[in-house]
Amino acid sequence: MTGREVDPVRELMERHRTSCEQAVDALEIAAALEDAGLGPAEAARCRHADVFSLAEELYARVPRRPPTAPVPVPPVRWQQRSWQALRSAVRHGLPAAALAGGVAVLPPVARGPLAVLCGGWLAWAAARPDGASAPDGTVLHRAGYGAGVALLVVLPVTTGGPAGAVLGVAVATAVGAVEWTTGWLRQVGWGHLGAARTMADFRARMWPALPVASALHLLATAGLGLTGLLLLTAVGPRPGGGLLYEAVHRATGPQWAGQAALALLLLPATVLLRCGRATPAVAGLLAAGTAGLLLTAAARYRPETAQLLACGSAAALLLPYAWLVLGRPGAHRR
Amino acid sequence: MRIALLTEGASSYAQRADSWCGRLIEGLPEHEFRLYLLGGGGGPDEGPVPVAELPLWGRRPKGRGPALHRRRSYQQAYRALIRSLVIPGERESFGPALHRLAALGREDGALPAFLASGPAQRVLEQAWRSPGAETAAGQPQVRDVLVAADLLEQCLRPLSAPWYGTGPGGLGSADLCHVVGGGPAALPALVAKQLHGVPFVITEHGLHLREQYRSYRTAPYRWPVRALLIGFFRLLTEETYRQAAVLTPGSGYDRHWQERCGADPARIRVVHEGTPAVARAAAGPEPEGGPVLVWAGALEPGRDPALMLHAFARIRAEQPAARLRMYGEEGAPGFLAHCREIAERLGVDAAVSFEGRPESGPAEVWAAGSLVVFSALAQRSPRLLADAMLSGRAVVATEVGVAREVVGPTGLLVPPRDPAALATACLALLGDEERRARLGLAGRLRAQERFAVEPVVTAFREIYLELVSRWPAFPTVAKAAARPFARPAEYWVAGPATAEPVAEAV
Repeated sequence: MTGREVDPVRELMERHRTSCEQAVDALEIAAALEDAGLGPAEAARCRHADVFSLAEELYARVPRRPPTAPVPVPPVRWQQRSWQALRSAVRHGLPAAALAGGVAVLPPVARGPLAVLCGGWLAWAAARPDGASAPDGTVLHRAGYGAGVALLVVLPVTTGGPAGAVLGVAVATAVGAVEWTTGWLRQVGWGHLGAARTMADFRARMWPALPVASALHLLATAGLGLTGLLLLTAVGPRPGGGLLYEAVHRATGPQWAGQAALALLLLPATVLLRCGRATPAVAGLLAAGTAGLLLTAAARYRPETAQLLACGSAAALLLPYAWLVLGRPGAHRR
Repeated sequence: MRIALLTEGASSYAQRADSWCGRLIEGLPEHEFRLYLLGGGGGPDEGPVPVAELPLWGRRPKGRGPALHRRRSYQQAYRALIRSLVIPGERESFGPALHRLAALGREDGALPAFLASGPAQRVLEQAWRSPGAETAAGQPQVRDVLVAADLLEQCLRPLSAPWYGTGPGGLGSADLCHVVGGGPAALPALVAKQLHGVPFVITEHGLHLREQYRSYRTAPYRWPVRALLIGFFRLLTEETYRQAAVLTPGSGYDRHWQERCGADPARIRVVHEGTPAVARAAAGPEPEGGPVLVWAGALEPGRDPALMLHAFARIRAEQPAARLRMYGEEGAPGFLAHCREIAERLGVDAAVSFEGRPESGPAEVWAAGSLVVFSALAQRSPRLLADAMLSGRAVVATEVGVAREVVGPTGLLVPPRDPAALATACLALLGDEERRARLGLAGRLRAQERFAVEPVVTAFREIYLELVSRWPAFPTVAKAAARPFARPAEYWVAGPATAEPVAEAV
C-alpha cells in the first residue's frame, strides 16, 4: 500500500459532511447515502458489507455538529401593532364617547335606549375577532368578552356624572393600549421561548413582564383620563385656580380608583383570552359587570364605589392568575 | 375470518377498488374485513366495508386530563417512555411504557389531554435533560419541549382510539390485524396483540421509518426535537417488527432495511405490490422518424434529470436524429428552468422536449419512445419501473435501490452519476433493434409475472391462514390452555364468522 492512496471513506466523509454532522443516528446517514445514489458497490469500495455498516463508520468518525439554526423570531412589527392599537382605541372610544355625549345632551328618558344602543355597538366592537394570529376563544367567548367590556364601560359613563363619563370614555379608549400591551407580552414570551433553556428559566424571565405591563397600562389609562378631564375643564366654566389642579379634582378619589381597578381588570382578562384561557377571563369580566350593576341598582352604592368593589375584587383574582399563566411556556404557543 | 385492516389515509381512497387495500378486500371475499383508518376525514364512506376513523393530525380532541390521584401514574409511564427514547441503556422499557400509557388511557380516556398538559411537558423536560441522555448535539430548549410534546401527542393518539375491547367493532373481536404502512398505524395492532392476543401482519410499500428520516431532514425543527422524534419512530418500528407475526415488504431492498431494524429474517416475506397495469396491452410499434428516448419522473435532484441530459448530449453526438422526451412535473421549485438551462448549455435543447404530466396515463408515455431511461439517484419504489417494463419497451436504468431486483436481466443497468456509461448503454440498445425488442418482451413478461394482482391476493390468503393456524385460538375466551393447531385451516373460511367465537369442541 502506498501512502498516496486516499482513504475512500474519508472522501465520502468530505462529500457528505453536512448530513453526517447533522444526523441523529447511523440509519439517517444510510438513508442519506442511498438518496445520493450510493449502493452496495460503493460500500464494497470502502470495504464494507453494505451501506448500513458504512454509515455506522461515518457516524462514528464525524462528530455531531448540528446547525445553529436561527430561532424563528417573527419580525418586530411594533409599527403594525401600534397602528392596530390605534384603530382599536378609536373603535372602542367612539361608542363610549357617543354615549357620554348623548347622556350630557339628551333628556333622561332617552338615556336608556341610548345606553343599550351604544352598549351593543361597544360589545360588537370588542367581540370582533381582530385577525391577529393569537387564539382568542370561540365565538361564545368573544361574545361574552364583548358583553363584559360593554357592561363595565357603560355603567360609569351613564351614572358617574361628567367626570365619571370622561373617565369611562378614557378606559374604553385605553382598550387600544390593552391590545398593544397584550401583543407586546406575547412577543416577549415568544422571544423568551427561544432564549430560555428550561421552564424554570422561562418563568424567571417572564415574571416581571405582567407587573411592568400593568403599570404601563395604568399610566396610559390615567393619562387618557386626565387628558379628557383637562379638555372638559378647559371648555367648561372654571371657578378659578390652575387648569391641571382643577382637572385632577374634577374627579373624586374613588372615581380615580374605580377607573384604575377597571383598567387593571381589562388587561389580565385580555391577556388570558389571548393565552387560551378564555373561560376564566370572560367569567371574570361578566361577574364584575353584573356585580357592579347589582351594587349600583339594587344595593344603592355610589357608582364609583360599586365599580371599585366589583372590578377591584375581580382584578385581584385575575391578575395573579394571568401572572401564573404567563409564566407557563404552553400559554405562548401560536 | 375477521380481519382488521389498519392504515393511514383518507377513507375515500382506502375504500376505492383501485387502491391496494381495495384490491385486497375485493380479492378475498371469503374474509370479513373492517377498515381502521388513521387521519381519515375523506368524504362519506360508501364502500363495501365498515370503517372506523380516528383523526391523527390537527387539533387535539377535546377531553379532560386525568384526576389528580391518577396523574402520578401517567407521569411515571410517560417518564419511562421518554427515558427509553433518550437514554441508550433504557431502550427496553419502550414497549412496556407504551402499553402502560395505553392501559391508563383506556381506563379514563384522559391520555390526549394529559400529553398536552403542563405536567407532561415538565416530565418531558426533566427526562430529556436528565444525566445520561443522548443530547450530544445540543440540549433541548423550552420551545423544543413544547414542539416535541405536541408531536408526541399526535403520534400517540392511536393509543386512545376507541377500538379496543372484544365487543362488535373492537380489535379484540378480530382474528388478525393487517397493518398497511408502518408508524403510528401499527400502534393499535401492538396494543391489540398485547391486550387480546391478536396477531398482526405488517405490509409496507416504502418504509415508514425511512420516509421519516427523509422528511425530518428538511423539517423546521431543531436537532434535539429531530433526534427525539426519530428515536421514537425508530423504537416504534423496532417494536413493531419484533411483535409482527409476518412482515411483507414490497421489495428485497426494503427487506434489508427491515432486517436492519431488527426484523427476524424468517418472518419476512417479500410480496410485490401488484398493479392493475399488467392487464394493459403492450405498446404498439415504435414511433417513426428517428430514435426517441423517454424519461419519466418528477423533475427534482433525486431523479437526476441532469444525468439524462448529459448522457443525451453524448448520444446525440453519435446519433444526430435522436430525440428525448422528458415526462413529469416539477418536483423542486425552479428545477424545470434549471433543466432547460442545462439542455441549452449542452446544445441539445432543440431535441429535448419537456412534456409535463401525461394526460392519459403512463401508457402513452412509454409508447412515445423506443427506449425508456431512468437516471435516478435513488429508486425506492418499484412502481414506475414496473409500469415502464409492462409497456414492452426496453429499459435502461441506473443501478440504485430496487432497480436490480425489478429489472434484473431484462434491461441494462448502469452505475449512477455516470453519463458516459448511460450513453453507451442507450447507444447499444438504439443500434440493435432486435435486442431492444427481445429485452422489451422479456421485461414485460417479468413484470407481468411479478407485479400481477392475483399473486398478492394468493400470498395473503396463504399468510392469513398460516398465521391463524399457528396462533392459539381464542386466547381471550379459552383462558385455560391455548393450543396451536387447535383448529384446522378450513375452520376459518367455513363461512361468515359469528359475532362471538365459541370455544366448543370441534
